Amino acid sequence: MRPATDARTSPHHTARTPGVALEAFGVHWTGGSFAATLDWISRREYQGKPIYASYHMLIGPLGEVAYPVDWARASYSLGVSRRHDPRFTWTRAGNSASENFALAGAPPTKPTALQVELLVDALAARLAAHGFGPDDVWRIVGHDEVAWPRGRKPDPQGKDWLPLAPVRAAVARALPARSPHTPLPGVL
Amino acid sequence: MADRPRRRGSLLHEKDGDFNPGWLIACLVSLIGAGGCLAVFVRVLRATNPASETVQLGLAFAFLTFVLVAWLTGVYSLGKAKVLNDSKVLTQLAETFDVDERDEDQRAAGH
Repeated sequence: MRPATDARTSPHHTARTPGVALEAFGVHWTGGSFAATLDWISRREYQGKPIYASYHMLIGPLGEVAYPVDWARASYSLGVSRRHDPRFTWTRAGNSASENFALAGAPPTKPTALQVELLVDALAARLAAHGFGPDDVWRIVGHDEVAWPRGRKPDPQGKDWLPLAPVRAAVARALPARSPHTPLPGVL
Repeated sequence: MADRPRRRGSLLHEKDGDFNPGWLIACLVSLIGAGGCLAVFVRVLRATNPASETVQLGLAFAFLTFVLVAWLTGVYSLGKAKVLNDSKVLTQLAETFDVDERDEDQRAAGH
């Protein structure tokens, strides 16, 4: 049986910057276990050093799920970033332009099949919620692709941990064909 | 002839503006260590006990070699990265400790 959703939250979020379109879906590894990550992103500091990190959704290797930040808020996830694809319009407000999904873990232990399955389901649901269709899976980005300066972050594709091309393909298969850029009524 | 990369900005900061005096501190500590080894080396050369001189000389060379290798492989690469204004090496070293994922708008707003 899949573990229940964890209700713990993170204080690391702000209102989304007005005028910045939500157009990207960031994928991360956390570098720690599910429990350790939840503990870490719920703190404001660790050993005297401030922490500014969070995700909208955290997925553990056994299927644990947490939603530490409300979808309507901008989580602290991408850090200083620059778009890598000219189709994006955001410049400096990467967190306002994105929703962020993290898989607990890091190399050398690969993510579990269940983690990837839940990630694909979640990405498909969120893309659909914003009116994006199968042709919009390019909006799924790795932290490694947008972190600035380039090379600042390796997750999630570093060391071939979670290649995103198969994830995008799986999300595209899961999404119903829909006219892009037509948000569903009542969704964000 | 290709243009030689020129250093810009402070030696105490990374390209992205983050304060990072680590390489400079490492340089200073390494130089102090090298100086200490050199002092040992000079002292061995002046040793008055011929029976132990060979052993001490060997030890001194070993220490000096160790420090030089450590300096060349560690400090030099960091220093070079800094001088060439390439923060990639430094950033990778600091990656584990990067816990600030606010974007620039959030930082500018003082969150």
